[in-house]
Amino acid sequence: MTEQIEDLSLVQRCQAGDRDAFSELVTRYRTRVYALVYNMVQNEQDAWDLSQDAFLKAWRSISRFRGQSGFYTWIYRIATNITIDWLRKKHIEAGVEFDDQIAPKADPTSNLVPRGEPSPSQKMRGDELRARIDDALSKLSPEHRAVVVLKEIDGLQYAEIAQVLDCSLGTVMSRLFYARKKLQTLLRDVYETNE
Amino acid sequence: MKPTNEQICAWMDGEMSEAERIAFEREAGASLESLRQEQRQIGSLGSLLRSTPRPALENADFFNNQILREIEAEQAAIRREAAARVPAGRRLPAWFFPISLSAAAALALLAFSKFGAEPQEESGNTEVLAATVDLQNVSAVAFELPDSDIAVIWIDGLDYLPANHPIN
Repeated sequence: MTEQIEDLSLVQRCQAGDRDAFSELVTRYRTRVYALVYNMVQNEQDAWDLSQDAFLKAWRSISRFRGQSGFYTWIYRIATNITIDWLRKKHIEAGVEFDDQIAPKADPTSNLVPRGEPSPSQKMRGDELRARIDDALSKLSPEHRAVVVLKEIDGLQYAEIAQVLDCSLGTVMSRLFYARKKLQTLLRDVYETNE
Repeated sequence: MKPTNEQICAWMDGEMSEAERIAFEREAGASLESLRQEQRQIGSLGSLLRSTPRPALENADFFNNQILREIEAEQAAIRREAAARVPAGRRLPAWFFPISLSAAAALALLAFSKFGAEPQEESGNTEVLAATVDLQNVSAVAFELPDSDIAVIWIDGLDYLPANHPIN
């Protein structure tokens, strides 16, 4: 709550044209915004550019921030929207369609028993692991990717995710359910090996 | 009644109220154990996703600087556009600025003489930080008083305040 109060004070100074106050807000949230965007686009340069776009958009519309949500929720929303739009445009230009079908389709109440024996292979190195995760995330649609990143990596609650994505709680849960199912299919060998 | 995907998701993440959780587990019946296994797998998946290090923002200060420079550039463009939209009749006459600056400089020198200060040092490098016009006929000299906080910049030949242009 203290952080929220401090953020609001900085926002009010920004609304009065104080760029130093805005720089302070950028400093506070640049790492988190960058990480969020990077986890969605898996490219450092793109993440840098999109994160900057997010903060610039925040500055331009700072007068419209009313404090009904926290600043970080607001900047997250801006960053997520910009990234989702960018991903959609990129995939349209590449002629690629997202496939959110989960293959194979699994009955959520079916008896999914983990493999009893560990894989004989060694645990994956960090860079290989990162590559597998990035590859799996890239196979999700932007909206499903966003909800997984916000929930599993950023640790946001459902209500916060709904605020960031400007959707209902039901939509958050539905997207999360299918995104997890798809990632389980793609990464089962990895997280079972690394347990 | 078969649980919905949203209910399963909420149950797995502990987002149900106590009453909802009890009702859900009662309705799940024989499927509850497989749901618990699924929940453990989801937990493993989440741990995996969080296990890779958070990507670091390199050159973080440069990140801020780029943003602030972009903001400054946008605001400068807005100011130029605003100035261009001012009707000619409302613009200040051309003689206004040099006379104003001369008057300001004269007042500053008067302050020097009042306090018994003499210009001690002429700065060799004088740089104006913002310019919007051509500076061909402009000259500037800076006087500093080492023993006080007073400095005077005498600018000659200006029609308006220049920006970002070194002056000899």
